[in-house]
Amino acid sequence: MRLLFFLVLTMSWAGIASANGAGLSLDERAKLIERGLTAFDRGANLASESPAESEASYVEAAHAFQRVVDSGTQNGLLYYNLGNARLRCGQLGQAIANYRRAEKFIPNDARLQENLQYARSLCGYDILETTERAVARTLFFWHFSIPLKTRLAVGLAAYLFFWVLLLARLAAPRFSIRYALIASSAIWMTLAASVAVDLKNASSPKAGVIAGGEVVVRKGNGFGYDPQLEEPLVGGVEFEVLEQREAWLHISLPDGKDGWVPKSRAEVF
Amino acid sequence: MKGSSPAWLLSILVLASTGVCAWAGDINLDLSTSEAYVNEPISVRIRVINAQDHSPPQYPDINGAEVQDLGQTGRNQSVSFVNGKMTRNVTLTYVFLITPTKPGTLIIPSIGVRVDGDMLKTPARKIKVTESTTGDLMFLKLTSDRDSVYFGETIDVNLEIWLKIYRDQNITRGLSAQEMLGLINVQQSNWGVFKETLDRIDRRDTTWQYRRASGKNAGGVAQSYHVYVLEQSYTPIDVGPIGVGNISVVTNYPTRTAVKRGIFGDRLQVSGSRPIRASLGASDILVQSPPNQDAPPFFNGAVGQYTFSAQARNTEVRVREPIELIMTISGQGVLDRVPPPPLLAMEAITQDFKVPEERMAGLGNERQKQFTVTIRPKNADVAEIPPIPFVYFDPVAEKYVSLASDSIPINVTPSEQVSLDRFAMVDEHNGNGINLTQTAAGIRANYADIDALLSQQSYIPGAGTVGMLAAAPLVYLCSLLIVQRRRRMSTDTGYARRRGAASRAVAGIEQALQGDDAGEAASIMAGAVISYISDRCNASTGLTSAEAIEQLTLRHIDSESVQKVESFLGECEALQYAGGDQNRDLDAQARQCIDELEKERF
Repeated sequence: MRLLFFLVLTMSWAGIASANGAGLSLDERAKLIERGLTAFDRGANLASESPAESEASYVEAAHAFQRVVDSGTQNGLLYYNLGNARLRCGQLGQAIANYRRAEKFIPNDARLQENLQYARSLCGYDILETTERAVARTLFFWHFSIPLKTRLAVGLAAYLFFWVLLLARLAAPRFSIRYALIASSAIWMTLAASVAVDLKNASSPKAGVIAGGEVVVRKGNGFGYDPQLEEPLVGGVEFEVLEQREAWLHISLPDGKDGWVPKSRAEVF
Repeated sequence: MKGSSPAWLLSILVLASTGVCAWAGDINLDLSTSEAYVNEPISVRIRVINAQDHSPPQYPDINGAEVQDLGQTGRNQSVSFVNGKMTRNVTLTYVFLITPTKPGTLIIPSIGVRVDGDMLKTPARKIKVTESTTGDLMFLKLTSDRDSVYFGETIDVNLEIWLKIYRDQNITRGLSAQEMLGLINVQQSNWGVFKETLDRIDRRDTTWQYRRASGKNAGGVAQSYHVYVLEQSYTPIDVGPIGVGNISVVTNYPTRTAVKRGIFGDRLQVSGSRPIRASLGASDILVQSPPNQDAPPFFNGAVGQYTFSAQARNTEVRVREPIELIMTISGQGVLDRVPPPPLLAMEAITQDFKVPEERMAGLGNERQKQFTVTIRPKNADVAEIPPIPFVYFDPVAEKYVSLASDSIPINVTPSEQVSLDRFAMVDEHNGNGINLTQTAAGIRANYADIDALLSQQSYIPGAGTVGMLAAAPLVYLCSLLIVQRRRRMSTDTGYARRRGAASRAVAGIEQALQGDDAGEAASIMAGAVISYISDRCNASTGLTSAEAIEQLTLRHIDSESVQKVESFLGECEALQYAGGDQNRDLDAQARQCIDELEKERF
């Protein structure tokens, strides 16, 4: 069953990637990236002399990076650059969303973590996390801090080691390897569960961020519903997606409160 | 439906017997008028009749008119019986609104509609378009209690629609205010900022204000007007004459009226009208900036009447650690447009604190706005956050007001953080160490490796991973089967004898063929078969032919096979004792016996 799941995911991923990538050639993407980098540097240089031109340059950079992403290219560094450009354009929500996307590929990148932390500090909307979530985050720190590829590699190694141990026990039953077997099976099963959670999340967005402005959290999926929270959410507030219904998202905030926001006012990843 | 089945059945039978026919596809065109005024929309209806398949009609751009496609607005279906035949007509109606924009002759061109494969064309039509002059029939005014307003301040403004009271020459009474209000074409008018007022009227939160007034036209003749007023609060977005948007009002002004008699009395009814349009000209209300020459330092554009305070969340910090500074502005004014205090321009702040360059986002409501910023003390000598000035312009007193928050005491201790980011640099001249501290504000640079930026990363496991996941348990299972078989062979003698019985028997037969003596060969072959039977039955060695046959019978082996074995053993015995030529088929019989017994799987 797991094998079938992985095969389907792999094939569908490959199909999607090739379909999106058909839009731009490799040369065109390279030129767009160069243009984005140049525009970003120009924006940085003009920041004090001409704020308007600087902002226009950042917008150009963000547009260039976004086009490369839209063409199907996915990697942590590209999302990181796009996050930087969005942040400089004043699009805090989109910046955090792209940093979070980059985090899936390069979670331990120091620059990324620094910029993400800085972007979060600009939000100015500090929602206290529930104790349960804080405890879960502490207990499962390895799930959040170890890159998926590393978890997959270590889990695979533990899995193969587990079977090698079983073979060794066949060949030399006199030696007791019970504890090694228990340890290796615990490692690979735990990491398999962790990887499976990430892969499931990759197939349907499970997290998001308010894109910008003030968004009223409502009790239901429509503007006719009363507000759920007295305070509107602002750009940069992160949340978990519980459910999607057409143009609305059912979200859960870090403090455990939930409600509905228009999909158009958020970025999910 | 229940109880009406016979009627339905009858209908179906009638339909089946008479047959159904429909006319071939066709189109026709219908105009709402042959004469129109400028800006008066003409309704054009194109009907597509009995088309199995058709393309929706579409008008191109028309010179001197604006075309609005309302799409398919109706579908009519009718059934008629003529001479016992049923005819079904299906009509689809497409509606276009064509609004002339200049006087003259408007030509509505012929367009083609593909119906059931044929291209059918609508006829071209000419419409006489005349200018509908507004003159003194209607004009607009923007009024307010105040002649001027400061930029950033909110003002109550009124839009007055002056509509001349229509009196038919033959009827003494003029149209009432209510009757003439209904002639204002709300949809075709542009309302600018007063659109919000109309929305409130729709929601019944407010109503039109009305008064009757008189004025004189250009010729000095006194005229009576209905004046309709919309009230709206507005915050100007630019200095100069106040701009409330591009406002123009369209009214279907009466050209004739008729008296309609009813049970509640007579009432006037508009029996003819023409559209007139009036636009709002430049306003006399002036939006002015607060006076520049008196502006104190740190004035950042706030206009209104406010109070200001500041708080810090964490005041016990180490050098470079963040302090969350919350600045609160409350009061009367347009808080949406109140910018944060310019901390970066305040030397008293920046000399002791690192302040982020990014613009602060404010949160709040109509009464209060809060700006939150993270500042970091630069050294351990900092003992307080100094008073933060906030300057606003009071439009009532027409003067600038400077406020300042209270100073906030803080306790800053030297940084004890030890990390790779922080290291001591030795001054070559005096040998003193300098602590370099990394700032937390701002973002790190982009990555510029084009190849890396173009790479395709995927966190989905590849085929190799899947292969390894599947291969490992398969290898283990194969190994497990082999090991278990070996173990059984070494521990279970009966199993070992059974597993090797056939191969040993065949080897014995092969050996028998090596010799020249037919009798001896027959003896060896019989021995091989008997040994095979004793191995398969895990019986003791040295069975006689009869015992071997008995073993087979006890295990319910097919009687034909037993008979063949018995016959073979009998032949071998005869050959062994009676002598004779070597029978070439004896080995084949032995092999056949073994093959058949193998199939019995006893």
